[in-house]
Amino acid sequence: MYDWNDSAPSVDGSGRVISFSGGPVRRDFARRVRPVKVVDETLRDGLQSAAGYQPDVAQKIDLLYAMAAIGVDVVSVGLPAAGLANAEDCFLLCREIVRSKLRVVPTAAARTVVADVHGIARAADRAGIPIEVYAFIGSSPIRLAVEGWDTDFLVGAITAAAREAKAAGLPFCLVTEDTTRSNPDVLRTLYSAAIEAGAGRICLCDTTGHVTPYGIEALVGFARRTLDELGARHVELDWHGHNDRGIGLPNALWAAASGVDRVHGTGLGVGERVGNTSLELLVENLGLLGARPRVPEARLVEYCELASRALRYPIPAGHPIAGAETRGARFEVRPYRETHEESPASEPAEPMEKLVPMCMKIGGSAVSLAVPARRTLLEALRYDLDLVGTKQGCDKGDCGACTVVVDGVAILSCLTLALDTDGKEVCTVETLEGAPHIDALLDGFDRLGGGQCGFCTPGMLMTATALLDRNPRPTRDDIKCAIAGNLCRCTGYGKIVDAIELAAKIRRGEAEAGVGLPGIENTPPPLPSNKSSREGRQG
Amino acid sequence: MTDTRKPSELRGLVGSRTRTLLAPRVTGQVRYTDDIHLPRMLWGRIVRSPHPHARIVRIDATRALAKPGVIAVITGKDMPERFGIIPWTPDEYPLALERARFIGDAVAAVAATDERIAHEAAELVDVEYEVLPAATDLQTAIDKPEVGLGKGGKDNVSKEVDLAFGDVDAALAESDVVITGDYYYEGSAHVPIETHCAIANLDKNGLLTVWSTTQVPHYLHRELSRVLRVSPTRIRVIQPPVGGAFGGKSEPFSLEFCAAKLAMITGRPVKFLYTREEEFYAHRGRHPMQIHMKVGAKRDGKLTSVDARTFIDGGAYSSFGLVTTYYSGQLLTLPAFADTYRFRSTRLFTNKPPCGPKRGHGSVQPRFAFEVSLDKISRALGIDPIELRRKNLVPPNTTTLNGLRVTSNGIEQCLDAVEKASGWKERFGKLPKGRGLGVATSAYISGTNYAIYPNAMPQSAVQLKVDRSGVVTVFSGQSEIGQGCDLMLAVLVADELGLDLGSVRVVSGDTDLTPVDLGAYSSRGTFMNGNACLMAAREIKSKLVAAVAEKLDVDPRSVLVTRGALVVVHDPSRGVPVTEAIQLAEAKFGTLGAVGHYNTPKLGGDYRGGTIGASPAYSFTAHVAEVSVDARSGIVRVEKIWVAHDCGKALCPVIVEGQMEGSAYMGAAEALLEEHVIGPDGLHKGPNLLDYRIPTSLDVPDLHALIVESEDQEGPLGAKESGEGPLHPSIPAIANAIFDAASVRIDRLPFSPARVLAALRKKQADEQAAAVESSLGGFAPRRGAAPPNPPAAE
Ligand code: FES
Ligand code: FES
Repeated sequence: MYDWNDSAPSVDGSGRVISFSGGPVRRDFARRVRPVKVVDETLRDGLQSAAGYQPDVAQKIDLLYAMAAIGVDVVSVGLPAAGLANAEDCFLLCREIVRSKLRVVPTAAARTVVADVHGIARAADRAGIPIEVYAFIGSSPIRLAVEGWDTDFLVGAITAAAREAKAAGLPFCLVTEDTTRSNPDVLRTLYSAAIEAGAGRICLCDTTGHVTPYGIEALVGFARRTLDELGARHVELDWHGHNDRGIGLPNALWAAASGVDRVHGTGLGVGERVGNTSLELLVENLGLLGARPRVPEARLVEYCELASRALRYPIPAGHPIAGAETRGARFEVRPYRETHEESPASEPAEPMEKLVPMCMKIGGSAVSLAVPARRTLLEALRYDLDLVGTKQGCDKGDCGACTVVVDGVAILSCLTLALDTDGKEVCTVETLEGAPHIDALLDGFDRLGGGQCGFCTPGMLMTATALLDRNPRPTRDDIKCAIAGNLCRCTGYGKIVDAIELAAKIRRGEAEAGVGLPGIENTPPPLPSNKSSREGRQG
Repeated sequence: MTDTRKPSELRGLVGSRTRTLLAPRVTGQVRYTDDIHLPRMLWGRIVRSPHPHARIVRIDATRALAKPGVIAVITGKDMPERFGIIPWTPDEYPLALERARFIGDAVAAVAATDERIAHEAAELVDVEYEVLPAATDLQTAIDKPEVGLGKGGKDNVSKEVDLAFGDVDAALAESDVVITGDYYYEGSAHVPIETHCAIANLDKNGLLTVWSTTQVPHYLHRELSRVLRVSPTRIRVIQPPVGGAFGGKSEPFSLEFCAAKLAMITGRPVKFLYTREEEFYAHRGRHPMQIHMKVGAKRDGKLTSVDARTFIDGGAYSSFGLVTTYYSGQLLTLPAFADTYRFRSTRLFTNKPPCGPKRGHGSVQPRFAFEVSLDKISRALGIDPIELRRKNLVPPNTTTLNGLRVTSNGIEQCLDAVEKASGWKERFGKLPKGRGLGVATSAYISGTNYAIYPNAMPQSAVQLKVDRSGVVTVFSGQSEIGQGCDLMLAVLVADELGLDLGSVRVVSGDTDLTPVDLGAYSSRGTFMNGNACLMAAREIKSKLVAAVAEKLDVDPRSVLVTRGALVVVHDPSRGVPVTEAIQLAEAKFGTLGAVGHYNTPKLGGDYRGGTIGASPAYSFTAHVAEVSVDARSGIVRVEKIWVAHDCGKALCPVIVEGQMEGSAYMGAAEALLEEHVIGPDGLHKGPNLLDYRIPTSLDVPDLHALIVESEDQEGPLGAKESGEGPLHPSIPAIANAIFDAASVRIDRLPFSPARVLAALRKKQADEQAAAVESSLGGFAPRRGAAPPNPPAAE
């Protein structure tokens, strides 16, 4: 069989095509493409799609595992500066990577400003893993004109941001937006500033999906030469391309062949405007080309399904790997689900939930358990540990019945992931001491009628415990403010405030503890002696 | 029995501020329903109608059943048996059979291996509906009988009551002042912090056990048996402690039947737990009522007549509606009332979550209209509103206009107490602008005189088991729902037998272990269960006394029970510790145990419906509320509420105060914040705790509970109810205080800032117009100001 794929172009030393003369293209690719790495941008660029849907962190974490499973090398965990929730998600994803020892490198996007870099540094600190900073900045004449920037401004911004990253010990990548339409002189200036300030990576962007393969080859060549000239051979190159012309994937492959070190893509190609390079197709093609190990198709399908769910983006019926039309013929690609019957309506199957081991301290003793990533602390306490003292009143953060104290702070366990308390000290109502040395708060509530149905009471007790621990002498208003997030439907709150006041007094030794508590002491009567039992019999 | 002490002379635990013994319940040591996890337990989830009114054409569970982890799906056809808490109006199916009557109506149920799968599977049950015209508000239900929600489908009427006592028209015509008003009482929800939950398990002997967050285990037992067609001898209902109910758990719900049915089908335990959203749709909360009321009075303040026309928005099903409709009129005739009375109430079905009994069932709404009317009369006649009420009080030991027998009545002391505590005389009408005081009164039943299904058996019963170690166990059918009935029983028994509180155990709410009690509704607990318990405790006590008398060789009449010992009354140094007395009695009489029960005397008016509202005793309440009204924002703040309540005798004052404060708080919340509103599309406006605003610790007024004890002759040691009565006056007291503060009447609930602001603006505009007119020559008729003379009937 003749394979036209094998009629590869001859290339000269610098990689330029001289002629098409036949020859084993695969081996040629394998020679030309250094082991290119794949960067998954789904959780950053993918979330900027027109759908605008923001998946919850559990979905992101599921997808993260799927990325690792298809061999993604680098994962963008998001843009922390886009808001508190985003920052928290970035942190949680990084922590997941650390915990589960996932073999992916986390990166996060930032505007080229110090504050954004700082935000990433904070997340990295908390998660205990360096996060690569991908700092983007407009570099094309159009952007400069629109924003009213000049090169000096850009240089200043880049220098400051890169220094900040360096100071925080984070790798820094300069992302020049719209690189494919930028002036070489400007690029050279920016690269040099970045490298001077410590950047280890440059990302070439085809932000508008404008470039063709030969443009890529020229640009990559230019960048490599420039880096050589700047004496920065160690600096690596990334390719990030969009799909406006529908040639995102070929472009990415071409960039790989032209010698970049990392290529970006997103799940199902979802991204800004018409989208990016489809990551699963990129991985599959690089595999076919022999530039990377092949990935089992089942994993790619799984990846597509999770991406589809996280992005609320249906898998096109004709998708080459995971489309409904193509999938029918691929029964062998679904090993994950062989244990279940196929549902007739092809309901997307549940990915198997991974159990993550964790431990916490409850009432001073260590407890270890394994939970799925999405498990809330409330579920873990009630279902996994059978600590049913903590109640569920709404499961939405509205009622406060589920309050527990974690490392001294009263928190809502229905809104806290169990994994968030890994390694922490959790205090639940079960840890309060009972008779005879009854806990001051229990004592107060019991004596003054602070609980009626008792369903809000565990949450109240926990909130109050945290309050009295930090403020032993609260005023009535302090108490009211502290319990304002704990709804009680029975008492009208007055007796609860009284009870907490009394408890504070008991704790300070100003009121007697345990008044009226039924005693448990007993002096046993003497055992019957032979004499008395004889008497008994006689009597 | 020879107890010569009068209730007021009792010393010991009764009336003392004992501990409430709640620690095990609030630290996870005692399990609430949702705290019970059984091995191999499945999770259930109800599929609910997305249409306010629709015919169910077809239900296809194929997709749901194909989902891994789904074990079973049931529909209405699996339980085609009607039920309803009132035996005359059974109109619900556990799962709708042909028609869904509100958004949220149960149409199918799924059981799966975990909660999330069950929730997801419920979405996969395909139900085909034919959407029908709906009535989602009272007016549409009145205007469009063709929606056909009533019996027979020709109108939307659920129940109609039309009663008259005396010649109302003549009395109104002779009145010096007649106040006519239109009032609208918005619906509200119970919102217990614990949502509904039920678990069912069928054991391998064929015994079906159902754990439920119910207030009425006995009725649930009966209905389960009927609907599931299982012999009651094969069913056990257990009611663990309930995390708040307020009337919202006083009838069977879909989840109990579904759990039981699915447990029977799958052979595995099944749990259903309502989400907070489902809780709002399951509802059975306060009925919205539209009340047109006329109240007439003579110049001296003597009330002549009350005439009320009320439309009640019942929601989709009957629930307790038959009783609600009577209560919307029957309970108004106490504590201060007129000589003649007529009320006509119509309860209509609407395509909304069904309404039912909420704390102060059916009587809170007319109470608002009536007490505001009284305030208007007091203004028109220039009589102090407390005085006005005093002039019209129904005295103790009489019968009301509508035939209710009244025995003890402490309303005068209640009025005195709030008048004094609030500084009424010095402050009423004299507070700075924007601040005001308002008063209102009410009365409530201590249990209904008749069981929900007619029978001659006791309403309440208790069994006592006495252990020779000195422990007494009380087995009681009452339901502990946070109202404190377990503690009440422990206090009664301990006090009667000289034990300490730690020696009495209470086992309640389990149809296998405890004798029948009808449940925790209509404020029956203390009065009925307390009496039953006293009867049993006294039987034991007489045995202890007899045994001790024999041992000490004294007359039994001279043996006195004190804390810890039975002593000789004139020589307290001679005595026997209680434990020893128990052992002596056991030796003398054999194993000790006793049963006690309570049944009501025959009571009630001699007319159709005359038994509804009849109760062996009535509690009485007076409130004074102090509010501030911010004229710029319309925000009303209730600063203080003084609530005086005649509970007969406070057996456990801490609990009584708790009930009074909790009631007053709940009433104030209905007045100011809460709205259970269903939109024209049939959807709840905000079925969650953020949008449905129950007060936080920062929203509540200072509550001052003032206990009044009138010592009822028939109550246990004189006690009556305290759980529901104290709610009633909250709303009108606040409304009247708003008028005192800002001279505007808000006759529609809740008194939200927008509504108050609109009223303030309108008043301002009216005053300006009046000023302009009078400046134009002074001939224009005055508007908006109080009439100088009492107006004639309108
Ligand atoms: S259950 Fe957590 S706040 Fe309600
Ligand atoms: S005690 Fe019942 S909710 Fe607070």
